[in-house]
Amino acid sequence: MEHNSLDQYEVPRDPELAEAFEAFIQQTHVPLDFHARVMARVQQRQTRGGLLGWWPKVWAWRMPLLVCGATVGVLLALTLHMWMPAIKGNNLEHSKGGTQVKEQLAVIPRPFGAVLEFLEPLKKQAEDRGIDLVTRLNKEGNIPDYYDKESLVIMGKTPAQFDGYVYVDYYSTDGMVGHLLPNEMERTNRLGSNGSLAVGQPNGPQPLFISAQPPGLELITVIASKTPLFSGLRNHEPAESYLNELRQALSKEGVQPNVTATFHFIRTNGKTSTPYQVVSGDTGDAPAGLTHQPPLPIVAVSPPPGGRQEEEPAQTPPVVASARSLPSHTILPTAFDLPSSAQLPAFTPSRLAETGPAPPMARRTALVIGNAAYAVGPLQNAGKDATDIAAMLRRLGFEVTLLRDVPLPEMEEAVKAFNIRLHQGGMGLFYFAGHGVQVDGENYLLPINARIARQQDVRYQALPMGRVLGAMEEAGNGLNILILDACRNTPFSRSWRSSQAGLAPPPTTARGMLIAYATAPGGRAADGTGGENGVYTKYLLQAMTVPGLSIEQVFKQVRYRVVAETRWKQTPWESSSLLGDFAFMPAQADIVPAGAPPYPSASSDPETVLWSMSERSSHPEDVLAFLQAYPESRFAPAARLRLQQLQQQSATASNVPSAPQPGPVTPSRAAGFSPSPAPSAPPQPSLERAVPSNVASGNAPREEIGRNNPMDRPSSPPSSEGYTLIRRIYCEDTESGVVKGSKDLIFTSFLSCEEAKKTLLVLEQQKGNCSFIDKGRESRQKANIWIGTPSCKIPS
Amino acid sequence: MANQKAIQPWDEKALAALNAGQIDSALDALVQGYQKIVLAYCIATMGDYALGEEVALEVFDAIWRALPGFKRESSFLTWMLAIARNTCMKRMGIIGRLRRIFVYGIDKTLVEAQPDPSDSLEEVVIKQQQVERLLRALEKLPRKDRDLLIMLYFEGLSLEAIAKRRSQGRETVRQELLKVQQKLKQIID
Repeated sequence: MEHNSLDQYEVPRDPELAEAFEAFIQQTHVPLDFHARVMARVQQRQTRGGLLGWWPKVWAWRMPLLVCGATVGVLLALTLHMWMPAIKGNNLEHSKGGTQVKEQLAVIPRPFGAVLEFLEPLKKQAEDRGIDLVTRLNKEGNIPDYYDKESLVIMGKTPAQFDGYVYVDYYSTDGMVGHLLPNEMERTNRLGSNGSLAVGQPNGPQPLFISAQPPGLELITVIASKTPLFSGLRNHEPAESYLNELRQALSKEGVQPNVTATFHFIRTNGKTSTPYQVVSGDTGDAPAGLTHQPPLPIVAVSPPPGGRQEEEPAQTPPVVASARSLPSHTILPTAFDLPSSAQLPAFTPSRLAETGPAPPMARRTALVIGNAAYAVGPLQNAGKDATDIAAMLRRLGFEVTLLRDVPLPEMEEAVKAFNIRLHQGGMGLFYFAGHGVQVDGENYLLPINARIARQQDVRYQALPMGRVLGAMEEAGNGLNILILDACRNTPFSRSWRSSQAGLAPPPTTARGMLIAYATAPGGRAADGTGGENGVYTKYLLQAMTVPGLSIEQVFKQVRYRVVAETRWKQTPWESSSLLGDFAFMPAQADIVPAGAPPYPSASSDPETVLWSMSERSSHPEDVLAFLQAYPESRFAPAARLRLQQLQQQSATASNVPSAPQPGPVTPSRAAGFSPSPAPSAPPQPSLERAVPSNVASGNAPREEIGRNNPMDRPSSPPSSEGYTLIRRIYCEDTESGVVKGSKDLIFTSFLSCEEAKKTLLVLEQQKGNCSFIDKGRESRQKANIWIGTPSCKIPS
Repeated sequence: MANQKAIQPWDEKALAALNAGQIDSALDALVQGYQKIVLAYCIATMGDYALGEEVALEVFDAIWRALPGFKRESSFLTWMLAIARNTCMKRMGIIGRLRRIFVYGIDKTLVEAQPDPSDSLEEVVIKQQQVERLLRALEKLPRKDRDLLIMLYFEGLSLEAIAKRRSQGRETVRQELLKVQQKLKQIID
């Protein structure tokens, strides 16, 4: 036995490492049933003890036999261990009724929960009617593991006497859905009675491969309907919108009795299936037979034996679908790092048409420049982006100067004139779409006539961003916005080995300024396809029209959308030193009366400024953030009241029937948010709910949760995947809206809703105490989000 | 690192139960008190969450069997970690040469990391980042270096004890420890 002795203090322990190891122990998650499992194991051993009592007596003469047995055992263990991941993946997740339930093994991230919500009843109904759709994958198991570059095949057969249209969809963890059948290339999805379905056969001309990075749980659904569900073909799209339309299609009269459906979960893994991973120099080689990059994911549907072909002649060879029509698996870092589109408040159609011209507000001045027709590296959409932004700004009450395809002198003149106009007060906005480059940390906006052969030429042939910033700052207005959709692939950078890609971070000295980049410093922005807006501007245009959305929220919304669409290739980024609040389209409640100071003055104390902002906000989380920051504030009682009102309004809004209701416009309605799905869609349960985390008040958080809990409805039978609760906590900078830290802390899967409830009650006691990320800068805990399958009623 | 010398309430409870011959109750107290550190130890040693958890169950099993012979010459924690080490080594002996650290195992550990209720979110996030960096760095170390660090930071062993275990001189171990820690920090940074 080794003991600690006094000389342990001679050990050269590193304090930082000691802290890290300590943190590791603290952070280790002990499964809830661990203790019970230990004791059960011991009990089991006790009962077996009597039977094993004779072992020592026979040990000696049986030794050789035991050695042989042990050797065989070890070999068996080794063999088993090789397959351990797969075995674990299958058995533990589905050991229903047992106690060996592993957490996080059957996470159902959205939109999967929503899909199952309506697909499971459909499947059951079909089974009851004897028209169940039998499909299988090329791997066994309830949730088979698919490894990178492995082949995925979906096979099946339509029921007897069931001529129908088959729809095979692939829901990936990033909230998108890809249509494996039909898609733009493969239009034939009509199968006859007992028609066989084969999607992605590896030996066929059009195999389908997994390119799983990173690993995740994904869902394949197969729906067969006697009548077509959609009139046209669908592209890769957000699952939320697709589900809405699918629900609509299925809710049509007479459709449901003639529909059958089934689904399969798969887990994609980045590694290959062999357990013998080489840590150093891991090349990620595919298993034998797949040493080369597999072909693009393609889909083949064999013609139904005896089935009719629609639109295509019988001899038409199988159609190849491009990879574009399939979901790419180079997705977000984790399923939950980015809220799915379902989590985001929907962009509502612009209310400008109904509201008429923007209400009177502080003077708004904008300079918009769009350079597209570059001699080298022309851009397709920069001109359109600038024009559209200018038009939108005009509708939002801005005095706009729009320049398109201008050389440097004109850009310089325009900036000077902009500066003069800004001196008349109000706020200023500068928008640039075109090429932008950075040289030695300074950003330059390239004019249309730039002739740049060397890096040094930039200084003389391009407009420094600092000059625009200076012009805006010098005017002394309290609010300036600079938007650069300018870090598109520059044709010049190739020849500059020393230059960095994308734009540089902005200077930190600018005051009262929000600088928004279409992509993060160093990154590049997508230009988009011809005739459309660039990705960034497209979403910016949408977000600007949402009434009541603060500038920070606008850019946050845009960031979420762009990231979701570009799969992290483009991450919009902002830097803000704004003190006040600003909305492109103020909500009615937010319109500041004439004569009132448009923005809180810098001299106001932070508490008053924050309350002033929170009070006018139509978002409960803003009020909540205030309460978290100042629980003992003199404004706290009013804040609690306001929070209660907003939550009630939010609850009311979520129950609003399909047609717009007359009556007073609540802030949440005025803000244009639609907590429930589109009016025409059938009710869609939201799978999220915000949990006020740290409200130091008499408002019991759980009570607040229950009031607006979309999951509060009678429990339905457990889904095949159990119940999953995920706790996500993230901290957001109040000024910039930038998420400073985010973590999904608990993933738990339960076999029964009761288990989930119990655990939730325990976890509720551990609510995060999100204080401030930086001592000097206010941050707030945006929300604790609990995600569960909607059929599991959460205790209120 | 947990103070291995301080007597914890569950130590007293376990000791009392042990004196009364109630092995199950003693184990119960020890599991309640030490399950986290034993689990963490096993995960760090095995390099995989699921495997670590499995081995941790075996460790407590072994502890239960060994409890009647506990000589009270060291703290429960030191004793339990010694058992944990032996159990892990046994398991590693079978698969050690073949099995490598699975990154996904560590990922799972991180994802499932449970916050200390007393921590602010900021602290939780910082700690998790700290843990993440540590584990990524540990992955890159050779097995023997990792063992050295685990002995130092998990088991809290003295130089003397580490040297004895490795059959090396104290100064050699000291130099190695300095080197390994430096290496780990470099990787972390």
